[in-house]
Amino acid sequence: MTGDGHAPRRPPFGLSVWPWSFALLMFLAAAAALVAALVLVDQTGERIIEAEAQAAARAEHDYLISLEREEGLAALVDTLNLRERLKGGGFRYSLVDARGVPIAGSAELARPSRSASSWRVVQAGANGGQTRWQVVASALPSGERLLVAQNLDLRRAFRAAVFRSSALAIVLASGACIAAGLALNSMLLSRASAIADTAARIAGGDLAARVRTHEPGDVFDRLGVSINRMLVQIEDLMTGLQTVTDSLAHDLRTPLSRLKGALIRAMAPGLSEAERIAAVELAHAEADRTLATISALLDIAQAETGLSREALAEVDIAALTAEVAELFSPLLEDARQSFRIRIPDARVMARTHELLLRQAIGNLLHNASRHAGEGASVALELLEGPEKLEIVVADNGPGVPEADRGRVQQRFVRLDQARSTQGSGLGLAIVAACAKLHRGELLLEDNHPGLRAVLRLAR
Amino acid sequence: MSRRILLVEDDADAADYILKGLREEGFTVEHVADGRDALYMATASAFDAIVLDRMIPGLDGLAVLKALRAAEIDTPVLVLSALAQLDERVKGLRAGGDDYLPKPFAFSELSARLESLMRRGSAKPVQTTLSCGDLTLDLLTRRVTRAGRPLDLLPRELKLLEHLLRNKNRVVTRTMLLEQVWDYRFDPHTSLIDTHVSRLRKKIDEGFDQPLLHTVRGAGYRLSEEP
Repeated sequence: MTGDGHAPRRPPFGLSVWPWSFALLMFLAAAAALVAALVLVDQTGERIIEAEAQAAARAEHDYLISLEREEGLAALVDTLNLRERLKGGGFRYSLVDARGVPIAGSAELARPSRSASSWRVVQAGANGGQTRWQVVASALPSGERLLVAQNLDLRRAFRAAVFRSSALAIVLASGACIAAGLALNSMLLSRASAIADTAARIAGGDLAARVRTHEPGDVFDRLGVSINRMLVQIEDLMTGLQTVTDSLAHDLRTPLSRLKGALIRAMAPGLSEAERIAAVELAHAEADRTLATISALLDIAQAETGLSREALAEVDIAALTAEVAELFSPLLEDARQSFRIRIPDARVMARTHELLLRQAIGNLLHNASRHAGEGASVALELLEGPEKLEIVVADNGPGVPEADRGRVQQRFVRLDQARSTQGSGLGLAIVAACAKLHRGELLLEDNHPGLRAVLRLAR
Repeated sequence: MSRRILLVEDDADAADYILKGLREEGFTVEHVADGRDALYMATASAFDAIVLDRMIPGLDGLAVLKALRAAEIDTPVLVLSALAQLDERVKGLRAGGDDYLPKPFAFSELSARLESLMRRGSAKPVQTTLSCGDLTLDLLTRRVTRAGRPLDLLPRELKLLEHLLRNKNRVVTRTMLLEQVWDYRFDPHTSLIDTHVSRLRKKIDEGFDQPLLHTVRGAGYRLSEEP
């Protein structure tokens, strides 16, 4: 829609879905999460490794101290020399006497020893290179000093490895998230714009356009199904309106032109008084028919739109049905039809639109009297259920062909065999509208032979 | 003393048509075209009946009606309306209207209904029998006799006869019979009422010299001793 002067306004608070700003937002969020995760991993890792290393060095140190205490200085010297030769576990050892002269282990480590027992970091060139060591030193009871050094570079390498692998994992995960987000984004957009395209086609006049849906559906399929149902309803209404307009034009034109004809005849000079009155009476009758057709149409429209619901009231349907039967029975008697009425003696209360229901039952009886034929038997029954009521008018006349049973409920539809008789073609449409107003339905069934019309009402 | 009627109608043509007809029938008619004037007139002086159009300027017809009833003015009101739909009719009657006549209508219909309304307004002592000439209906036993001879009537014929007897000497239209006897407010597109009446006529008039149930051309029926 390219509205002139009706540019689509953005909803407040930036609620509109802008695809790229959405993706950018996701990307920024992912990057922030990544940085935060790396900092966390690094710091936590550092803390854990540090504590672990100190514990390991101290344990090593304590072991050597207790070795010296239990087995003597010579055993300690041997052990240190042996370990220094093996150079295992990232530890180096050194033992110096009170004057600082190395007795066992590494000589280079022994040099910078100032404090008695504390952590410090020294740089010593083992094998010619610069390696950083962390040293714990303590004095033995006999005056010597024991130094245990741990290789910091190994720790650093480990820390770097942890950092790299975490970073890699997080980058991969973020990438996957962004990819998934973008995919979801474009899927949402394509699904939504498919629906929008359909709506645009409808707006362009193609009423047959439908949203494509799949079974079993997701939320978009459900949306599509609802929209399609709405479109079917709209199309039905449009078709109905078209039919009504056409039929109305036809059905009103006929009595109106007859009325005009009768009036022209009445105006003709030299007519006897009796002839003139007869012509005027004919015109009068045609005017009545036209008015009746119009008010019937209004009644149907009102019942169908449900506006009449406010006029619903608790009514004794048994008494109402009996009264209408009584009113219409002479019509059936005139057609030499037998009329059987089966209505409960007790009251049958239901919330109904009394006037419309009377008319609906009347129309069914009227139809039976006209179409079931001479000598047919007609039965009127009121069947009571807990949730619904059925008012049944059944005859053993010629019935209505199955193919036509849906059609005859529409406005102005008259089957060919009924064209010769008078009638507006609105009778069953009113009954159907009455059923709809009462959340029920009008069923036209085969009575083997004949027609069985069931007006079903929800209680 | 001639009976006074208040006509509330804003459409000049329709008002002329009704005024002329009512004056010919000997009524004194006051005419106003606006809801506020109507309320003023109806509260200021007494009328035998009010003919009230539903769609009038100033105050809506139904609002006038409700205000009148709230002021405990019980003058019978006949509501006129171009809104012939079911619900409008129900609303009109619920608002306190005594009868409802959709436009367009024949003057005979309006006059017959007004007569019926005004008669309803004047309470009569409780009757146990209704009669017209030598035809009698006993309301307690539901037995009908003519010239002392019992007649065998179906319940639906009794109902119709009772209504005609209660409106003796007055024209009763087909629509009035449909509405007041059977509460059926639609044109059934058939001569349904004629059929009912002709069956009743066969039972009460056949074999007697003087016919009581007359057809009034273009209007309806009248039960009367006079032809």
